Amino acid sequence: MDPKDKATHSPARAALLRLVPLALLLGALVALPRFSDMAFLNAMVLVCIAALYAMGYNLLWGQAGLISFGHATYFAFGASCTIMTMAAIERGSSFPTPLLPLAGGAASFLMGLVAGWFATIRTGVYFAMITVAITELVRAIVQRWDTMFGGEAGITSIRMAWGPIGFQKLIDVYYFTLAWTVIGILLLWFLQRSPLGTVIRGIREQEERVRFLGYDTHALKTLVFAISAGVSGMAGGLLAFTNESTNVALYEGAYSTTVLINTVIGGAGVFLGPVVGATLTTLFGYYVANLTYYWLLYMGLLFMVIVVCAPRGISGLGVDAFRRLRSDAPVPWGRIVRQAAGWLAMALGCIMTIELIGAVVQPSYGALARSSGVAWPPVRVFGISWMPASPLTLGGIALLFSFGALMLRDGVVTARRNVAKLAEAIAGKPEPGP
Amino acid sequence: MKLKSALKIAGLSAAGTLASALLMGTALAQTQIDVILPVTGPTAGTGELFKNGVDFAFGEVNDAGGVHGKKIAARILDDGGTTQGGTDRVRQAISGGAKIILQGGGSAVAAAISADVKRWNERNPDNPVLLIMMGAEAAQLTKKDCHFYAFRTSTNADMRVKALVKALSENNRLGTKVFAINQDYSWGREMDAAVKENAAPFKYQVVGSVLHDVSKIQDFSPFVERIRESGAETVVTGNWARDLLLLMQSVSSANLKAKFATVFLDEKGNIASAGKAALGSYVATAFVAEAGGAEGEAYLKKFNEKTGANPVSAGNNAVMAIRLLSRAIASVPEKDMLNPTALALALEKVTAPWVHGEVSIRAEDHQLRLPLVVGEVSTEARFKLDGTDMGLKPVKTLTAAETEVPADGSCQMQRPK
Repeated sequence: MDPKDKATHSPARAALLRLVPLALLLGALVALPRFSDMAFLNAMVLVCIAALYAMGYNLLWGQAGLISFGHATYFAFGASCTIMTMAAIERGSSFPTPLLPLAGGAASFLMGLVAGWFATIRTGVYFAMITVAITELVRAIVQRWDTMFGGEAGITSIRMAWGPIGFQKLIDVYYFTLAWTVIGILLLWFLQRSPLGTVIRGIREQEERVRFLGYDTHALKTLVFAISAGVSGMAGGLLAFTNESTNVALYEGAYSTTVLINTVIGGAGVFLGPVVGATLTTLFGYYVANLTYYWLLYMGLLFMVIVVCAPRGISGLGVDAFRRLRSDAPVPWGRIVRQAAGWLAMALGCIMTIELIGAVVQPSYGALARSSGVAWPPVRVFGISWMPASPLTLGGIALLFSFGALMLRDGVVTARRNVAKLAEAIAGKPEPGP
Repeated sequence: MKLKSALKIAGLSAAGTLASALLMGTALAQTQIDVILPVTGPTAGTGELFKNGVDFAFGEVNDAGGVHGKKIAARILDDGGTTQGGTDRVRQAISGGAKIILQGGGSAVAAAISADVKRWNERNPDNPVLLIMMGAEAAQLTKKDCHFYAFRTSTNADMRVKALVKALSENNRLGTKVFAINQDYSWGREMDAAVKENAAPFKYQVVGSVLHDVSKIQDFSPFVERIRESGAETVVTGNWARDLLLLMQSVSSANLKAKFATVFLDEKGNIASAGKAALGSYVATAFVAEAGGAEGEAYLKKFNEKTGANPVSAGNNAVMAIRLLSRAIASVPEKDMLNPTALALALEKVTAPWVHGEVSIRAEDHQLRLPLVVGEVSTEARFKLDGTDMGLKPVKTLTAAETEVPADGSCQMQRPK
């Protein structure tokens, strides 16, 4: 096909081009339980929840330009209110089970209205600080109020059947979560396309101008905050529904950080970017955590690499690649292969180094060395026994790193530029336009 | 040329990764005992204690030929110290075919895991899973939240406080004025209640009690002043980690006369950080090498050789759990060795040897019965801790019968028919 055809496509074809992959993805997700074991299905339930949570969070960041450091509160509050409603159903309330996430969403929305009114008085760092303060306040209350929130033992309940649906099997839970996640994301999509969405983006770019147009920007920002909190609360509700329990630990800072990391890794600038980040980190944590003790370190490294080399996240890279495909420029296969090989070598070198050092510093390694009489007993990495002190092992690692550096040497310039940009952003200087 | 060889190496390592991942997959599929521990996160230090105990105890069983002639091994899963992590690992474990789950770590995670296992067993009565909580001390786990497939191989607040005040009062070290300072959450509140409950039988007066924020207090000196004003002779605390350390440090700078009766002072690093402030404090714990005589010394030495660390605190509970489990497996026919129902019934009957006497499970609520040693932190102790010149000098060893606190009847478990 002539590349020019691609550039002058019709709107209908563009819509199709967007919808077909999404439909395929949804089809795959619907068919998934046929091919999956319980552990993976559970992981996918968590992916859905993390994705919806990150999408709710990114309404605030991507659309309104407000970075919250305390979204765990709304996520957790949604979970708490959902479990309380679940417990009420267990006691005989007629609240329909399928609408449970709405209970959490509504509660968090109301809370978001109050919290958002205070937080959105300010922007930037001050906004972030207020969100942290509110989180701490709520956490302090919740941790003491055991009769309401159950303390660190938490509240447990059980999913009650609703009509023909039992909700007892994980597969029911999966479809339930998937359905609500899709509903939530669609809601956000329509919000983004609505006139309200346009005004919100206007506030992000030039708040004063929007105010001169006659909009009450504080009220609008409060509303966006509340919607974002509500969607996060819905995600929390899904978690409560899945786990059939909640815990005050949900209110802790970790859940605020995770959603931020998911959004950065996925990319805040693309609508479905946070979904990509949530999927990646959730699956990573779910599976790699059982393979190595140092999985958090790897996650941190990955996060750093993405911030430095792809500040717009993985979805930003994807969008760039897609644009390039549709433009006339030839695909730089050589560079892609070179970089992939470089990153692979670097990753392998890092893994080898970390695992070897990690094994050697354990007290049990010292004990093994003493009892076996060998100064440097072998360490298993990748199912192979390595001699940690052997020149072959160390030389191999050095070779991996130098090969990686050789392959990635032209990336240094880009990385340096990105770091400089990041430093400027942190220092508060306005970023140059695109 | 250089590039080519480098590429070759990269390719080979990539193939190696893939192959090892596949190998790992098949090895894991055969594992039927999973251990869920906080290997990362804020409670990773505790997770390491459990890991040492697990490594040692499985090694001990396998060195003796395994059970039914088979070696037993476990896979360690990391819950990161969070309840969500615990829930996820339970599902992974069950999905991977695990029949037995051992859990080490705090009560909150244990409560989540226990509830998950309970629900799984209720929904899948033909495919139940056995759970042994090796270190969670919250009372409810063997009271209201107990269930047939859940076992606890550690103590609880009632047992620890009873052991402390019994040993100290019988040696005339308790005095008549006792102060309780604890953390304001379930464990601390249970400690607080236990101190007040034991006042009448052990003839002391609770002259003050404090419940403070968990891990939030920077300076304990106002509390130390309250202790001084109360005229307390003994202070009982269930504090752990930084709340214990900072408390001990405030005490050392305030020159307080009262002695401390603690639960977790022997955990790694505590005595070293508290320094001289720890001297004269008491701890009720499962293992004090000096109190065990030759057997205690042998255990200490073997544990150290295997893990490079001392057997302290929770690590010992992991050893007890696996000793009980391996004896339960040995006591059932080979075909039932991974049948959770048969094993649960067997666990109620077996006893396992321990340095200070036998340990066993109470059938009524699946709480461990174990001997406890009350030790005093002293420079005269034979075995030093944490690389300091201090160690635990035994005050009294209490038998399992003496430390037992009768079940209060709140555990209503559904037994299989």
